[in-house]
Amino acid sequence: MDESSLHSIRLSLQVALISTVLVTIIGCTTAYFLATRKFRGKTVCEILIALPLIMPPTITGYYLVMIFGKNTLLGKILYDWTGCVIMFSWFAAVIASFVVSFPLMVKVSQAAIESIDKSLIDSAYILGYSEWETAVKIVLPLAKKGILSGVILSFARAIGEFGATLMLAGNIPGKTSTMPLAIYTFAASGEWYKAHGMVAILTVLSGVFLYLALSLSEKEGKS
Amino acid sequence: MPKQSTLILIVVLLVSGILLTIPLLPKKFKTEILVSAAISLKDAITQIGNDFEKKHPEIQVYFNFASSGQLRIQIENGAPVDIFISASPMEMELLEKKGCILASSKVDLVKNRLVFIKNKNLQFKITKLEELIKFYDLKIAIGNPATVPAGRYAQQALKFYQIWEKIENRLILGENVRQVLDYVARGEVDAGFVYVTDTIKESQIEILLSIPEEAHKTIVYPMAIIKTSRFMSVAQDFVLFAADEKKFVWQQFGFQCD
Repeated sequence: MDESSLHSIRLSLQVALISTVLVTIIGCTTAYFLATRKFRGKTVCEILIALPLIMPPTITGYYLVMIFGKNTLLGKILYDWTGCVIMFSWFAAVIASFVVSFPLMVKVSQAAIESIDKSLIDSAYILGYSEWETAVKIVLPLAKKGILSGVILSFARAIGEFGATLMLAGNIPGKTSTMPLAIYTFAASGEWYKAHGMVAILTVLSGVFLYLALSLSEKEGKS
Repeated sequence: MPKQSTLILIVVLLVSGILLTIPLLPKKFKTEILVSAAISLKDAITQIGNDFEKKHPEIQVYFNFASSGQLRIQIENGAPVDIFISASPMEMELLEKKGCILASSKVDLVKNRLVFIKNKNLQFKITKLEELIKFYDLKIAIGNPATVPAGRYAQQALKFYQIWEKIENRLILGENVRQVLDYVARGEVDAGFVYVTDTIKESQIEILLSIPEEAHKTIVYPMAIIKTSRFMSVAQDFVLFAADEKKFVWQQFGFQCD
């Protein structure tokens, strides 16, 4: 395997890892509030979060480019204030992975939190727990398995992310070319044989993650 | 309880903030230029980039490969690109109209030819494109003319010989020119239209005809410097290097230079 392929593997793992940490923290918090609160515009909120799950990734990428591009919205503010250009940086790949795996995390952990027996939460409040204590000591442990499979699925989705990454992070060998992008580049010039290593890694990783997610849900069924 | 919610928010922001500031890659102190190039040019332009780095060791050339349309959208939205090489003059014109490129720097880098290919194991011959109407059961692949430049040129050629209407409904549309090539090479279709440069590394296909150049618009790959480039003189050097000094590399990969 050549140097740029090795770089792609390392980059993919780093991007997926950082994206998954962010998705876990922000996704869990979001799921908690969506599961426990009723507010105006909640449905709109849920639709917006779920959109990247069903939209073609290139369209998601197009929106991201419009938001984070130097000429538009957020990207311009960031550039004017800090001189940072998000587009074509490794962090752009994190953002793209985050946006497409966030809905998975929220959906799965929201369902897990909603399925908790309400009387347990009520008892916690009656016994004098604050909301923070209830959330951390009662809700999170009870929804642990759901959240964990959300984390696994998010990581798997993040490491395979292609369309939005291509648009926002670019396909720059040695810089932002993650495994899926590198495979696409090799395929485009008829060099499939150079991609075999990465194809194998992605296939094995996906299989392992699905196995983990499946075994989690089986355990949940038995208990 | 609002107090706890704020606490959660602060923790979330803090952790995100810490993660944001971790540098993933060490900073390089070389001059870096970024060339956004149509992915069909990858092999040739990568070699030229390596040669340029050898000649100027203080400069690092990075490439960004995607379809010309995707590259155009990125540049329109302020992507930090120095040079754009498009496989479609249309995308370059769109950028020029928006004032994104340095108009004086625009050159036609290389040209390409459209060819009609068949699977190696098939036995049939044609000498003119018009003869295609005689082969009723031939499955022919072309790039989708709506999105694929190679498909657009093929459509122009078929219209030029007035056989587009007659064979239109038995065409199989590929999402890019590479897909068309793969279809023919694997024998999933019998024949197809691709660029001559695509055929060089593929042993499972045979060129039946070169489509005459007057049958379609000239297949040209324009190159230009982006207005926001921070290294204008380096970009200019690279343009000259790729367009003038390295003609033989392009020819090696099947492209034509004036």
